[in-house]
Amino acid sequence: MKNNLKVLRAMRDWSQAELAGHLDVSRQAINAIETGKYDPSLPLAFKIARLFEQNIEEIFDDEFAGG
Amino acid sequence: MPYNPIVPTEEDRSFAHFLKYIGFLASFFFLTSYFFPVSAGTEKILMAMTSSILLTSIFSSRFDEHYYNLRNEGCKWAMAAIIVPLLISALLSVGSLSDKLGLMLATTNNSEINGITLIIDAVLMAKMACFAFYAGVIFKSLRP
Repeated sequence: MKNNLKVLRAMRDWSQAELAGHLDVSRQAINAIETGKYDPSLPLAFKIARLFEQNIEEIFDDEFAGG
Repeated sequence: MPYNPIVPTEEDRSFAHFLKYIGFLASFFFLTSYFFPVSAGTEKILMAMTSSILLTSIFSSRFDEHYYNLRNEGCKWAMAAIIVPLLISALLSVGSLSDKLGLMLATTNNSEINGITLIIDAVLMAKMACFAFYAGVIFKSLRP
């Protein structure tokens, strides 16, 4: 699943480790989400959305949403 | 909010990902020690390292959901490392049983039927399962 987490993180000038600290996950988890290797769970996706004050759909791009 | 020393930090969670590489190396050398014997002391150190890191990897709750996802993959690989040799042995035993039944029918020599002895080296299987766990974790974490 594509996402713009890297862009949002860059806008706040956070490192992966800093974002990981805010979300209670590891730096590797942030890296895996940003590179699309790992899709976060729903609770983590909500946590990310709340942190960046956006809707989940604005952060994560569901490829199948159109069809 | 008061400081709680039990709550895992980002460093604690990242440590799990560092641990997987140590565990992979330890389990690799532990497995190869079956084929290329090392001293008893080295073997015990490798055994202690592999088993303690594996126990921490499997039962610790101080990691994050990404690691648990990788751990699931590792568990699948470890189970496959146990099941595949069992399946192969089972299939071979069917062939062996057929041979012995055929021999019995041809010769009527019942003493030839003495049961199928499947000897699966448990130590090798355990070493393979340990290595397969980390191979699965590393494979999933590196796969694009």
